Amino acid sequence: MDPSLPAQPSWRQVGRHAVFPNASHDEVARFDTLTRLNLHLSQVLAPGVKKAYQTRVEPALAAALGRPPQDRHEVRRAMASDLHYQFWSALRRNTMEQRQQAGRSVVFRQLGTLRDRADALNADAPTLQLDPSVQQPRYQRAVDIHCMPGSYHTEVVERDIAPGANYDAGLFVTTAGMLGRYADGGGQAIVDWLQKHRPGWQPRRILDIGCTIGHNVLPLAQAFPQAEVVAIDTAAPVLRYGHARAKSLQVHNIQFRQASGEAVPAADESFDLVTTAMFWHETSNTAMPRIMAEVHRVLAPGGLTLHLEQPQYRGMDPFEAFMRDWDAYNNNEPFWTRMHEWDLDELVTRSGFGAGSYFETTMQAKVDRALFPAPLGAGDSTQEDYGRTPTWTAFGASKPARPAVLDAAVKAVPA
Amino acid sequence: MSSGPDPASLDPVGTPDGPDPASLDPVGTPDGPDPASLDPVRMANRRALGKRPNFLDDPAVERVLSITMAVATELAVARERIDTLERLLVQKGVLGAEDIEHFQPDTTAQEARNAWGREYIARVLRILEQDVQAMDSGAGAPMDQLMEELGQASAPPPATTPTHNTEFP
Repeated sequence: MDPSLPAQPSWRQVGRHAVFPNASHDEVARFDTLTRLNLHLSQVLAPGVKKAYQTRVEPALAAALGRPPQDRHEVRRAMASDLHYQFWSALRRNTMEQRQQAGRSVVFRQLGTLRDRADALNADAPTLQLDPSVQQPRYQRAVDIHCMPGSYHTEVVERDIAPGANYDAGLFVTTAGMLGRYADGGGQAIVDWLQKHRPGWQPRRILDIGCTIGHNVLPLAQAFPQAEVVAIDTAAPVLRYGHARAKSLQVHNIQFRQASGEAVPAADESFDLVTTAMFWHETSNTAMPRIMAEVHRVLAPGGLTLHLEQPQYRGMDPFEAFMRDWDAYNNNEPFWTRMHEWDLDELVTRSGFGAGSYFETTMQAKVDRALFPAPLGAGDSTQEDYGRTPTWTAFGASKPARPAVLDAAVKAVPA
Repeated sequence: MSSGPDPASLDPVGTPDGPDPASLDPVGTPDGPDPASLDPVRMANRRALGKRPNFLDDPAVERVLSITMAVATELAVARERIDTLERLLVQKGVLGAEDIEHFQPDTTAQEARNAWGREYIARVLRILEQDVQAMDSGAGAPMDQLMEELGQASAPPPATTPTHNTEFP
């Protein structure tokens, strides 16, 4: 192993549960090889992309423009013809496609067994609420997000769970294990932050929007076992899989519900905490204000909303923004680029939270460091993996508590 | 099974933007296709909806690179298996190197090798199979067109109390 690379765990160390697919010796070797390939691309070849920019692309571009490049689009157009960038990109795209192929080949050969196990955990469970009338929004249907064939929602068999199983099996490969044993480093980071910044707080009801397989909401449900957690997504297969996964991991206080964040089926002011994790970039400009307005509507006075995302582009060096934009153009994330242009403070403010309520901080995946590596770019010796590093911008807002006198008055009104 | 989609038909309905994923729903088949009837090799090689970018100047070279990387991956997988095997053999003192050299597969072993070989070739030549899928279903709208569509100026926020709300049960 290249001593300059961070220690790499094996896919064998990924946490198991009843609906997690089994992998043969060779399937594990394939996942591990693709993980190594991702590490090589981010740690060995990506620095070459920066070098190519600094030594040959930027000087020529600046000379042609008569000024330094101003934005990521100028950088992207110039880099498109650089041979090293071309190969790095071609390999990065291809590795993602190989990872999808590898995951699906593992899942589909045992889909019947996995579905039986999910059925046993899901049958008649009041905590799984599917609603076939929920439409997949255009931003979910337009392309298969991050090159995942069929995306989160496509059902090939009745009561399908394959998209969830494939997603779960491959998260380790794409992130080189940096999300931890149960790919829940984001959720763990949120719990950590809450314990630090709202010590002793016990949210009674928690809503997670765009939960997919629920990997980031499980730590919240575990940290607040008395809380009633509702996890929503528009895609039924990931909800079925996520529900079975949670049950198998002995987490029973989450209701998985098929619903859109644009129309949350909940009463006003009915949640104390509303979260998302790596969600907004998979929506659209039209959807974002609608969803944030719903967040504001369902949040109870004194409640908190918190969102994990990759950092916004404003004020960012054009080359770094260009690298972070790679997934938008090349990994089927078409809204990624515009999402990262949003003024999130304005979004939150306009959605009803009011001026000055927006806050922003930085969070890093919290994982078992004995087994899993620190995020790339976190130490002196590792290199940032633009757009994929689990070091996030967390943003959100609190809703002011209702004054006690007013609260009593509201309660006194007969229903 | 009655009128459901052929599970092996990857793109049952061609639209300008590829298949409508919803068309893969087993509508009209109360139980849907039996998971065991799906061919895992073809399911694994399904192309993701969306136009595939080309990075290299020559699209042919891009394909060769993709095939080469799949082969490289499979070589690493095979190497790891051999490594496992050799270590176990040494550990248990079972075999000498000449036993491997003189091995002749029987019919069962040969059939297993053939099945493995089919999956192997499909994996390595996935990119070309997906080109064929794109020919059937269209390559998809360019990403910048979708960026334009999804990034259109937003409407003002809706009224704070939508009419569809119902409380959770």
